[in-house]
Order: sequence, then structure tokens, then C-alpha cells
Amino acid sequence: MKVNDLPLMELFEKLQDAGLPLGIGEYEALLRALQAGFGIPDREALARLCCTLWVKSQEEKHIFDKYFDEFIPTNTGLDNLDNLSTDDVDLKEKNHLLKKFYWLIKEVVIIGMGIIILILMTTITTERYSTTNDTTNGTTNGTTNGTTNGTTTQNNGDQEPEKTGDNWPVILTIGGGSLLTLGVFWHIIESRNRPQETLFKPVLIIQGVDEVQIAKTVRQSSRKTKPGFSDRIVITTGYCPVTRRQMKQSWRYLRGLVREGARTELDIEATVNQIGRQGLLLEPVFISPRVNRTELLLLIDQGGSMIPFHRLSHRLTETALQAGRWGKTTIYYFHNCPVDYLYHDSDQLEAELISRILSQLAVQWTVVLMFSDGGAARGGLNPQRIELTKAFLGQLKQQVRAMAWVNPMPCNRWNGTTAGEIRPLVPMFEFSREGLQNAINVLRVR
Amino acid sequence: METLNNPKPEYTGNPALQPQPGERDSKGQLLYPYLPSRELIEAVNLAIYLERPLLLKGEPGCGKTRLAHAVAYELNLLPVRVWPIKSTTRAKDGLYTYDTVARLRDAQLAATGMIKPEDIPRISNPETYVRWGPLGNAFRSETLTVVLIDEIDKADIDFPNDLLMELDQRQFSVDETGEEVIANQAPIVFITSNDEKDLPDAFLRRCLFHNVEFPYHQLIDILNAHFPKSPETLVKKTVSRFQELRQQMEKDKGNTGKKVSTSELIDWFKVLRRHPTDEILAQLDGKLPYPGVLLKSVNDHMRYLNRKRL
Repeated sequence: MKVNDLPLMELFEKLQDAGLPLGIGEYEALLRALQAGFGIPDREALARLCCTLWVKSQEEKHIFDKYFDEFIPTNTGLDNLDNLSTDDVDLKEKNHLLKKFYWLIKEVVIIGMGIIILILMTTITTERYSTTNDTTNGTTNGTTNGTTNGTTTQNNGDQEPEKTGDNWPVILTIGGGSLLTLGVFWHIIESRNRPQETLFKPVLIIQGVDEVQIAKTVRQSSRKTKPGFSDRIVITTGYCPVTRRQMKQSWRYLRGLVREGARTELDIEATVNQIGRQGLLLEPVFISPRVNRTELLLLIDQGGSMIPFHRLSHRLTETALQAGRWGKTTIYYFHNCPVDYLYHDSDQLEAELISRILSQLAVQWTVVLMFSDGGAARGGLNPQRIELTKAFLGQLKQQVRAMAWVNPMPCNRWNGTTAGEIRPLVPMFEFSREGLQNAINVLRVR
Repeated sequence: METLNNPKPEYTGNPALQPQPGERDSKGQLLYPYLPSRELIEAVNLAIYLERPLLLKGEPGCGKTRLAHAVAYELNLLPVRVWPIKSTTRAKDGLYTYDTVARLRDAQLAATGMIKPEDIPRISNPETYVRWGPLGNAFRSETLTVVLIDEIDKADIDFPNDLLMELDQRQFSVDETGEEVIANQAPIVFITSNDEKDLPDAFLRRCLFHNVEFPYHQLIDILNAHFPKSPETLVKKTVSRFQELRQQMEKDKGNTGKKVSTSELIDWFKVLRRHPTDEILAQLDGKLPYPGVLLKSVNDHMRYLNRKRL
């Protein structure tokens, strides 16, 4: 295999863009490994090598596979075809033959159609001619008035070119239409014949990749275009302003470290002080290790105007559960604004009384993060909603240490809506990387 | 160039080089044969060549931890320096710990004249109280060593990042004595993770990664390697019954939930072979014998034990 000709650098850059944690050192590692003879024998070995070096999880493997297939095609770069298994060759030949066969059929069909149309046209025109001839013959042969004869023939002569002119578009549309339907059918047949893998695989993978790319384009577009305009585009294309990785990174900062639990760590300073006081070492002084006691209460607005952001909220809860290493994560759902009940599940079937939930919170450690558009997505002022939210936030404030609100709508859309009215009550941030980080900063124990 | 000056050992996973049944390492730990996949062998050799840690993930009981011992056995690098991670483990513990309490005690004994004069030079030397950890020992070793950092995901969130420098540059300093430790040889480092928590990207970037798959097609070989001279019919029957259970579990549970693993198969077979072969063969056709070895929850018992065989 000619390694030098392979677009490995391009592949590497693409994977970097897709969010894999790679530095130039990882590319160097690949070069070193290749020089040492790893990954040289065939394409699979190269894929395995790149995979071991660059891919760190099953999700990344999907992204990698997609780009590897894209950049390093199956049959290029191989010096000798002997490496190709005979099955592969057979398959390729078969495919080739099939393609030729289909091409032949296609041509035959098109030519056939052409011939049919031609025949149709000629028969119609000849019929017209023959009928006009008949009528003229009839009139000339007839014993009726000569003048009328003249007019009828004249009329016929006038009508004749008009009629054939009328037929042309009809024929053309019939011919063109049938060709078009044939083409459509052909496409359907072709897509059915395509192997299932190529039909479904890319669709599955692209989700993961797109998330990263969309986040990128959103960032770029919101910088370039006017505010307000970009907002509208963003919502329709799937709004992913913060990638999964960025969420995890942000969650890491949510911590309230306290010394708690069994005393296991030696406090050298205190021990030395004690010796100084007592004159001799009686026993060492131990202190508790530092633990992250923060308990996160995640309240998620679900349904209605939040439907476009469901994927986003799902990702937020997922990363909080996975990456968070604090004391406890509790997630509740509500619709528009919490009234009396909060729900355990996103379908809002399993309800629990708010007063009950609040009474069970560890006041000292609980922090609340709300994820809701606060009415900014739909716009308009809803006095009732403002009142209800105000009441809930007031109730909540008594029971928790800190709270923050992240709003998936950009902040320039809050003014004049319910969200704009709620904003003074609670630290509200838009759902961007900075916004999320600021929200978590508010929640941190200091 | 590097390969010429300093030839790297190569792991082959050759069945002929496996430990014999009952063979123990110098610490008295039993050694077991290990049958790695081709991809795994490649990953190990790559890690050895590039001198990077190899991060092993996979479901519990698929042989992540055993690999380190198998590699060390074949390359004659036993014993493996094992660093089992707990929730309270700090990154520094793997390098060294400083026995401050002993030093305070000795200082006090010396002050009260209760220490022998010949011991004075020893206790005046601060280096006396340094206790080297597994990684510290590996760095200080003159020869190549294998280090196993077991279940790294159990540690605190900062743990992997605190190790970055040490794993990258293979050097550290002892704060208490100011001693600099620089590795002459990069140790072969295996890191296992059960994927309970995510590892930071900066750490992942420096590791090679391999996902240890469930060895569907090697089960018979694995049993034969562990229990040579077992009756062939019994091995085949056990494996097919086990595979059937495993497939059913995969269908029911998908990617989540605990499924029967290789280590449980080995335990199960260990129990089965103690009984007369005919008896066990008959039992394997009926209700699952010794289900407690394979099924670890009430739910699993209800679901897989009472199921009628097809």
C-alpha cells in the first residue's frame, strides 16, 4: 500500500473537526507506527491502527468509520490486486455486469419509446391527411353548390394546419411525461436494489457528527448575520449551540468541596502543632477528605414551545448524569411553569407534589438549574405565567442554596416576553457555552 | 533508529507460551492462560512501541485485568505492578507516599534518647520515609516493567488529569526530599475502565484505546486452555448452552444491563466438571444447572430460569 498517497492528514483534520480529542502528537504517533510497520499490510490493518490511536469510545468509532470509508476508498492505494480477496473481485465483476445490463435495458427502453412516439405521430398526421383528402374528394365529387364546395375546402385547408399544431404539444407532453415517469420508476428500482447498509448506515452515523458541525455553523452564522435573522434559521435547522463535550466540560466546574466523612487524611500541620502543645507525639491528627457535596436539581420544561429543544434537554440531562461527580442529580419535568406538581418522567405521567420535593432537599447543598424558554419562543406576555413562575421561584429560593436558569432562546428574544419579566427574579442565561458556564458559576459553592 | 538501539519486546499471544495450570507468579498468585484477539495483540504491540498507556474498556468479566498479567508472563516481566484504584485514591499515591507519622515518631524517639546511635544517620535522612507506589517503582526500575492501573473510573474526577504529566514525561519529583525520578525505561501501562464515568478528553488523548469484545468464537478454546483434558462433548455442550443464554440476554437487554461474561463461564465450567460427565450433560438439556454462578439478580432468575427451552 502506498501510504504516502493516502489522505491521512485530511482524515485526521476531519476527525479533529468532528470533535475527537486529537492533537498533532496523535498524528505523529500514527506516522511513527507506520514507519515501524504497523498498519501497513492492508486497509483493515490501517483502519485498526488509526482506530487504536485516535478513537476512544464506541460513539467515536462510528464517526471514525464514516470518515475512514469516505477518505480511504476500498480499492485505491493497493499496489497489488492479489491482496484483494477473490470474493471482492467476484462481487465487483458482478456489479459491473449488472450495471452494463441495466444500461442496455435503459437504452432499449428509451429507443423503444422514441420509436413508439414517432409511429404515433406519423399515424396521426397521415390519418389527418387521409381524412382531409377524403372530405375534399367528397366535396369535389359531390353534385352540390360549387361555392359551398370552395368554402368547405377552404375551411378544411384552414383547419388542417391548426389541428396538427394542436396535436404537437399533446404528443410532446405524453412522450415527455411517460419518459419522466419511466425515469422516476428507474430511480425507485435503483434505490431498492442498493444494498441496505449504504441505505441506512450513513443516516445513523450522521446524527453524532452533525451535532458537532451544526454547533460550529451556528456559532459562525450567529457571528456573521444579523441577530434576529439567524435566530429564525437556527431553530428550524436543529439548535445545538453546545456540544456534548462542552456540556461535560462545563459540568466539571459544578462542585462544592467540603471535608466530610470518615477521617482518613493525615493533617500534618495540625499534628505538628499538637506535638508542640503536648510536648510529644501522642496520636496523629486526621481530617476528612474533601468531597463534592453539591446536589443538582435539574428542572426541565417539556412540551409545547420547548419541543424543538427536546434533544438539547435530553443531552443536558444525559451529560449531567454521566459526567457529574457531585452528590446527587435529580431531574424533574414540567410544562411551561411548575404548578403544584413536578414530574419524574419526560412524558409527565409520574407526578410528585412540589411541596413534598422541596421538603426533602438538602438546603445547604442543593442547587437548581432550570431549562426553559420562559415563553420567549412563542413570544408575548402572559401575566398568569409570570405570577405562577414568580410564586414557584419564591418558594424554591427558601429551600436551595443557589439557582440559575438557562434559556434555549437567544437573549435578544427575551425582551417584551414572559422571559423578560422573569429575568430580574433569577440569573438567566442563554444556552450557549458561555451561558452554561456562567450559570454553573452561579451555582458553585464558594 | 529507535528500534535498532532499543528493541521493543513483541507480544504474540501464542498459546504455546501460556502458563501451565496451577502455575503461580512470585507472589503466589495463580496464573491463567489468556487468548487475545488479533486486534488486541496489535493494540498491545502498538502501545509498547509508542510507549503510551493502553486504555482497555469492555463489559465486566471479559478479561481486561487479566491481559496485563498475560503480557507480563509472555514477555517474562512478572510480577505486574498493580495499582488498584479506589474512590479515595489520589494520583500521588501511585508515585510515592511519604510516611510523615513515622518520621515524627522517630524524631520523638531520638529526642527522648530511645533510639540507637547507629540508627541516627538513617532517620536523619528524609529519603528513608519515602514509600514508592506502583508507578514510582516502575519508573525507578532498571528493567522493563508492566503497570496495571485497575478500574481508573472509580477515582475522583481530577485523578486522571493529575497523572497526565507523569504518564507523558515519565518523571516526577518527591516534594519532601526534592528527589527527581526519571524513568530509564518507559513501563508498559495498562489502564482498565468499566466506563462508569467518563474520563477527561485530555487524558484520553494520550492513551491508546481498545474495546475488549466478548469472545463469542473463542469460548471453546478458552475453556480448553483453562481446563485441558476436559471431555470434548462437555465443553461443547456447556459453551452452546452458555451462548444460548448470552444471546437471549443480548436480545432482551441490548447494550445495557449485565450479561453473562467469560469469567462466569469459567467459574460455571469449574463447577460442572466436578460432576460425572453424563449427569451434567443430561442436566444441561433441562433446567440451567447451578444458576447462581451465572444469574446475579432476582429478575434474571425469573426471566431465564423458568423459560422453557426451545
